Amino acid sequence: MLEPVHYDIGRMCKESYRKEGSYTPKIIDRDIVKGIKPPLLKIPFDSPREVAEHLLSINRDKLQGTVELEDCTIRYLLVNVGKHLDILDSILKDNLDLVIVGDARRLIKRKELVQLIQGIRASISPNTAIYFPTALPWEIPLLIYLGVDYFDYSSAYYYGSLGYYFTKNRMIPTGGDREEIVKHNIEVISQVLMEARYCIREGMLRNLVEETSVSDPYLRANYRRYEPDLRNIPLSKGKRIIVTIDETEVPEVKKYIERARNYELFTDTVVLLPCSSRKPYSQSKSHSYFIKAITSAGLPVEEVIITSPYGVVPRALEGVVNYDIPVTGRWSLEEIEFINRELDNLLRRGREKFQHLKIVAHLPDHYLEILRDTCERYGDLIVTSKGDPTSPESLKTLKNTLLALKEKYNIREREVRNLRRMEELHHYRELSKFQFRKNFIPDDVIVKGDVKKFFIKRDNRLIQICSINPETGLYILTYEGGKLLGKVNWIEVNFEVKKGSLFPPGFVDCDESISVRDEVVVIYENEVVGVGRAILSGSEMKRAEKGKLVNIRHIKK
Amino acid sequence: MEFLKELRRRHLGRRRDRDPNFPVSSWIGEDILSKGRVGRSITVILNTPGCRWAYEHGGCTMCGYLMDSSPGRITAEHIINQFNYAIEKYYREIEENPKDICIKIFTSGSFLDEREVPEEARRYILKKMGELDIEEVVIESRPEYIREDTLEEAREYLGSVNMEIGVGVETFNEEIRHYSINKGISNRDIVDTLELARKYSIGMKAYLLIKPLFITERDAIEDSIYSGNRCLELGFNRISYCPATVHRGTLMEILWKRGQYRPPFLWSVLKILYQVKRRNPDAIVICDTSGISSKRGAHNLLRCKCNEKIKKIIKNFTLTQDLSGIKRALEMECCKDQWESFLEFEERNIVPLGDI
Repeated sequence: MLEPVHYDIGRMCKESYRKEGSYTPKIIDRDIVKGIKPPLLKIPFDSPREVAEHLLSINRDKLQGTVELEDCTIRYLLVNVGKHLDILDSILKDNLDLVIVGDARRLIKRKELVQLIQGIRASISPNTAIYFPTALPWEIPLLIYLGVDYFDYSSAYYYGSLGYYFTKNRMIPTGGDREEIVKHNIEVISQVLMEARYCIREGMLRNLVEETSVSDPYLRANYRRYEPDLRNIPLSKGKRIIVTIDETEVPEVKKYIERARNYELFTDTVVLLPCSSRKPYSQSKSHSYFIKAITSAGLPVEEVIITSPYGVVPRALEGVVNYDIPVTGRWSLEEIEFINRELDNLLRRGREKFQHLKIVAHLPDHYLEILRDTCERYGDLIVTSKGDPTSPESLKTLKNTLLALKEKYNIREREVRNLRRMEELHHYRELSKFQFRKNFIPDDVIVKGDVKKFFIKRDNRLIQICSINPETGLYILTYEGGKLLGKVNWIEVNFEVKKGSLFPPGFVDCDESISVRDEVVVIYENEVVGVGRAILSGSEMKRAEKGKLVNIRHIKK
Repeated sequence: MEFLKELRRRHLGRRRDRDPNFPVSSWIGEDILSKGRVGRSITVILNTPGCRWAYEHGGCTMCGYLMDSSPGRITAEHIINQFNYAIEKYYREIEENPKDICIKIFTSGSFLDEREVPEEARRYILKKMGELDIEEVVIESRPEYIREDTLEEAREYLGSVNMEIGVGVETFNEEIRHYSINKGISNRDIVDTLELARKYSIGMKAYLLIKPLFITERDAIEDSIYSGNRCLELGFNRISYCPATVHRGTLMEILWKRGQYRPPFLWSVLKILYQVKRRNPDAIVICDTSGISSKRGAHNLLRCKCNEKIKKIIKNFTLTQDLSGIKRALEMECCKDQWESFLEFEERNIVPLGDI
């Protein structure tokens, strides 16, 4: 009954079961609720296993049913197995439109909540909706994050009748007019849903979940327990992410780290730089100074930005991180541990490649304090900044240090140009490895323009293979680029595709590791026939029954 | 179910020893007699080995009466002594006006089960009550012990004294009786027993449980109304509603403690009594009020002032069979809105809610 359109761990879908379908997460239709007929006997959450199985023995066939609507039939399944979640698999069915979670009031406070919703989501089609009845306003964002699509106003009525006035984060006992309170409570729930839809579209659902769960130990515990499927967020959102708590735990960072850990250094001279609030860093004032000092020295170096929450960001990957974080000049223990771990990984890999590293720390003092030990483990640490790294004195020290190194290595001026070119190419290849786990940029690539476009020369003609999307910092492929890339992020289809949307009937199989908004390569009869952008993750494409799977952008001529 | 048997075993160890020569308790009070007249009833709870169904099959999910039974050996002589103790205690009242007296002999199980009350003791008690020539005798038994021979014998000993047997019908929905209550009795058993009792002009009283496990409050209301009407239609002389009270050592207690069961609202009880009595104006509909208003018993919002008020109204209705008090109570405002929204909210939650 749903067609997913946006993912941000949680998802936004278009209702396709009726003509005037709107967007979820939303309030479920009254007509559907009225049509749900639960079995007479229910399984309380803490029923002993034998009792639960005894009850399930007569309920098994009564948990599913259909609701007849004006222009369609909704097939639903009611989930009520108590805490015995291993039974879940035996009741889940194919061809469902709606899964209704039973005993929501109990479940919300239990650790099984995460396992249950995740278990359901992982086995049903992305077109199947999950309805979580009785939710309170502050529970809704977390539930959406877990994969719930539908809610109702029943808590607004019930708690309103007891005199409780809702806010987004709590309820306040009042003595006011009950009818007014109910009306108000309904309004609060619909506002939370509207906000959730906005946040999904803007890629900031996690922030909403953090805001609404932070004061409730049960919700917070379940938020922490949840290990989301990282394929349900894009590799780079193209929007600034806000990280104010759990700096080292947020999924966007985990996803970045997973890929960035394979980064390979270009040279054995590493310059560590502080981050800037402007992104990409190179657009900031401070980095323009750093870059000027480095370039004027003429020694190709590996610029690595030290930052929270991403740990270490090589210059080559700076376009894919865009974030804002509160800066106080004090690091938390988790941040210190995390940054050191990531720096350690980068330097260890660098030493494996070059045996010995020169680590130039051009950092404010509070950065250096926390990193000194790690740097000294892997090579010579040279400190070039005194206090403020942007001070003329610090910048001069940096330049002179690099000049001295250049002299020591005996690098001649005419080699510099070539080294620069190699460095640039290295960056493009590392970005490709980051995005596709594979390099597809050939040695003779020609790069042009402010918004970078990549070409190869064939029969004296320039053929574009890709460009870099300035928002996400990632490659956008052309058909030729897809051909160079080959069977990566692949979708196999059963027909000669055209530009536009790919739907399930044309779909054969795909790479399960595809994430939403990934660049994908379309394959027909073992040949690349087009490239596009994934709308669903690979794992969900395989279970999809309808709706768009891929936007095919460019095809074989 | 193994779980229920194991639960029972664990709790039986906590039973107290009692002097087998005295009943568990006995009392006298104003009561409605089986023909609808108000008289006085003497209730004697005998100390017996307890309900066989509970021993062998774990018993019913809401019943903890086995805990009142005796861990030690109980002989026929002990039971006769218990009975005589109670009769002597109230001898003056019986002698004063025997035709105003009803004696209720209850055990923690079935009076007609010979393992609980040996034949010798049973005969003694029945004979003695026949000799006292009181108005009526009430006993309780599971249907499997209500047999041709026991009924014939009882009729013979009691002579013209009325006899009524209370049977725990609980509900007329077999799914609920079997799965929610674990009663081990079918509708067929009940209908057969009714027929047999009729043959010996013995009256039957149906005990009906309000709100068994696993069903919502709204379904519980419907079930009790349906079951009450059905019992009266089938020929039970009267029905006695027992709003669930959470007994120790039961599955009901386990779920109640975890906030996954709530005894019925008094509003539900009122609604059931009102609907059933209105439909069967000539039938006697009574309701046990023992646990009412405590948190383990039927209650509206805890601490709401209406709990005690409604308890009195129900007590009064049981005696007078006059519906006007209940009708007035149902027109009260108090926390009735909250009850109605609870019904809605619980329905959305699908699974029954505890006290929230």
